[in-house]
Amino acid sequence: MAKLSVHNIVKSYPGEGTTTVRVLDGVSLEIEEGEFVSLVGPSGAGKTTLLKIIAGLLPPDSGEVLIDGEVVGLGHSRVGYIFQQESLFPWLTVRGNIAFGLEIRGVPRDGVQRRTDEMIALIGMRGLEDHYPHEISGGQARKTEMARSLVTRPDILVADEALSNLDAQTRNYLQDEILRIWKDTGATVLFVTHNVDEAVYTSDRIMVLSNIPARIIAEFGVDIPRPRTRTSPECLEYRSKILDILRVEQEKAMQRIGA
Amino acid sequence: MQQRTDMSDGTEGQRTVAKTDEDWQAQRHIPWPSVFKGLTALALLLVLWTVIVYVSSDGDLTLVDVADSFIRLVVVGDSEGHTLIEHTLLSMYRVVLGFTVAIVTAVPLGIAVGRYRVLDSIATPVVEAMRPIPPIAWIPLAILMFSPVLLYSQVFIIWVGAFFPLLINTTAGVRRTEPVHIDVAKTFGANELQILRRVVIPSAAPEIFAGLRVGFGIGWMCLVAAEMVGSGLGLGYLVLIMQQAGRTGGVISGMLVIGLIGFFMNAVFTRCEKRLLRWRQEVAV
Repeated sequence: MAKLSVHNIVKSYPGEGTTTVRVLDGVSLEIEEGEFVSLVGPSGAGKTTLLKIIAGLLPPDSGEVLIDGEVVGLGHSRVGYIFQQESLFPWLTVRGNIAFGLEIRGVPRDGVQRRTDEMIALIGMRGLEDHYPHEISGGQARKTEMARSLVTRPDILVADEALSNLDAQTRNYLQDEILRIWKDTGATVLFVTHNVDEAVYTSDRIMVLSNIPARIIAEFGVDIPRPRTRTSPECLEYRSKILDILRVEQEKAMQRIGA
Repeated sequence: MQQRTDMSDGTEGQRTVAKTDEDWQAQRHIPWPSVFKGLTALALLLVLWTVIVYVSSDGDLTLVDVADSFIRLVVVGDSEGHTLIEHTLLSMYRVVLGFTVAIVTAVPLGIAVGRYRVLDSIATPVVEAMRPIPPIAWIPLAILMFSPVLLYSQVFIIWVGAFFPLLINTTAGVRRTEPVHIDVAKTFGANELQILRRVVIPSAAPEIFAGLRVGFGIGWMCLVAAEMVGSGLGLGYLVLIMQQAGRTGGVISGMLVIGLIGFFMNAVFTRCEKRLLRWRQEVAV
């Protein structure tokens, strides 16, 4: 049984006047336990919308989301979410941020302490746990967000262009960190990105979303052993195949937004 | 102080500025520019004093006279034998009472109005209709409304003064809560009460604090005015009877205490703010 199944999700938003814009047009996908899957697509293809529906933050117009074969609805809390923008609580320290989810769940204090310590060690932030978010770097903030999402051991971790606002070195470093943490925790990951390079470097499988109304138009199993070399011929081959598909979709997207 | 250069991923550089040894050394020297500024301010105050005395009818009032009346008010008291301390304590008691009522009513209402749009559309027109009436204009009505007990009308006036700045600041702070922070809480299954307690209120805390400071200032001002009208004891009343007795030194003594309490309370709020809101990069003053 798939860890996550998404069946035929349809979602529209109100457009100008009385029209509606259909963003997701029957998206279906399946992710196995422990798999690292990337979702790439042109700008404004509804990637965030899809993730929010999977995480139970938005209701779909139709279709359903199943985790371990069980239908989940609005307000479920089985998905850890790393948001596109920085989302640490500025009034909590690194430790307070990581502990947040456990405290919301009512985990007893010693359990919170122990698991928070574990996560701080896992992301390599020992010695920085009492700093406030404005005192750490962007990369460290990303790692803290990841720890905050993983500390409650969610069934699935979804990340929404989590590394898109970072410089290239930090991004490369964090890709390795994410892979390391993924391996250490055995998490199931759905990673949304517009960076094909990143998708090829990290993922077991890559799904390509079309321009809106979006569906999944292609899927690649990335059959390269890790650690991968970004510039290896195999990686570049996957990369060019995916980019060819994306280029067409991106052009449609550009026409749509009139750029 | 630990200097933070150990960023293994080398991003964005240092966001916090740590004090270096040089900074510490510089602090040991006497800060001449601020000493100079302080002296200039003092000189300006003396000039202002001289001008006021010159234009006033009480042309030979000196600072010694003021000090003299001050001490006399503390030790002997006014014509009825009430000392400055009594007046001060009573005013403080009233303002603490009124301000507490304002906090208890305005902050929860502000949170509710800021968070729930339905309440916003009901409450905002009411608030906007009441707000243009200066709190001092409520004094006569308050005295009529609570005529048997003077304390109630004074508490009411402080409440009117402090309520609106507190309400408006709280509402604004709650509205500015980042939607993504609420989403984070929701992904952990937080219920509405947890979202309010753990996300909305901490996030609005800086604005709520600003509201407390402004609200107290206005409440204090309203109380002094109310005491002048509604008599009883109190600093406002003291200033008024000193004026009626033609004791300029006594008037100024009363004003000094009123100003000092306002200043002191503002300092207390600012200190609390700095302590509780350490997470902010800068505390708005």
